[in-house]
Amino acid sequence: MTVLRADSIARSFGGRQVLTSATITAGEGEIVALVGRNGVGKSTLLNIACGHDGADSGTVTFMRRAYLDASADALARAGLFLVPARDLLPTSLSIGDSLACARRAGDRRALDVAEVAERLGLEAVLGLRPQAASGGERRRAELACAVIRAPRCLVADEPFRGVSPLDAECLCAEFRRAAAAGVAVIVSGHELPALFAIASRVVWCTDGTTQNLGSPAHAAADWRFMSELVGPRGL
Amino acid sequence: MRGIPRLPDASLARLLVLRALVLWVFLHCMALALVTATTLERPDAAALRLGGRASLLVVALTAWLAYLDADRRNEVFFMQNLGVPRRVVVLLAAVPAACAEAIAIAISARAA
Repeated sequence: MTVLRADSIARSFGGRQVLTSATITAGEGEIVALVGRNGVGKSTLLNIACGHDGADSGTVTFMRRAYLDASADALARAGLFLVPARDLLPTSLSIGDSLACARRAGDRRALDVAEVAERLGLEAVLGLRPQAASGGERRRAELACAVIRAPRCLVADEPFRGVSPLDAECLCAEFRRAAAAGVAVIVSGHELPALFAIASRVVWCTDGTTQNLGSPAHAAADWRFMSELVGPRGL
Repeated sequence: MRGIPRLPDASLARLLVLRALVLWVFLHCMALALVTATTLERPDAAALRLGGRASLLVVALTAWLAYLDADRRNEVFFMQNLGVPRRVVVLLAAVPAACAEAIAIAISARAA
């Protein structure tokens, strides 16, 4: 079943048309990798799909319900969670308190804070504010927050940016675990090896639109995609 | 329950209310300083009463500043991800400011 569908999304900023007709979908248990060069509108598309930005045209459908002017809080209550490219956790609370907030705001499916913190290696930083944690710890804590809430759809914008390979592997394992539990996962970024390692489908955002490239193996065999995104040297 | 707008978690709500009250006090101190500077008179209890439009302005300004501060601390985005609408954040700052304003008006009216 398709959990999230942002269809024919158009968006311009100050006369610059970033998206003309972009579409992204994610089904239950699927990990979709949204890739593309800087400035092509990946984050814009994800923000619109999650209700954090408005589209000039297009529709968002979540759990079979169409939203004309989707608000982020309504989509969040329906089971959508966005881990943005910028910081997510409040600087006024400790990481442990933020995770506890997410747990209390969740429904009966919400996971135990201690269990998820242990899985993501966060026990030592639960008492710290996010600004005192390293970049990798912050990204793991943000993903922990999303996982604890047990969303139906998890959208992560550039989760691998600036994190070490070991932290990236930890995040990958959590994305896989979420997908195995039936969560629809959308992950964007530029780190193709990490994205291709977890994705079941690759969507290429280019020229204001999106192209479904199929499996990572198919994407890697697409010469136009590889030459435009990766360059002549390849992966 | 998924469709009903939520209130923020108690830990975040407490912070928002506290900050709104601090901002309200700060704005009143600014107003008092302005009145004292322009009239060169010692302020009394009546100086707490700003008048209808000024009171509304202080409440609106308090709510706006508290919202901006919460946004700066990533609290607004975080709460939206937990199902709390932005308008609830604004209300949570505006309500204590309005209550404090009403108490100040009552005190100044009694003193007068």
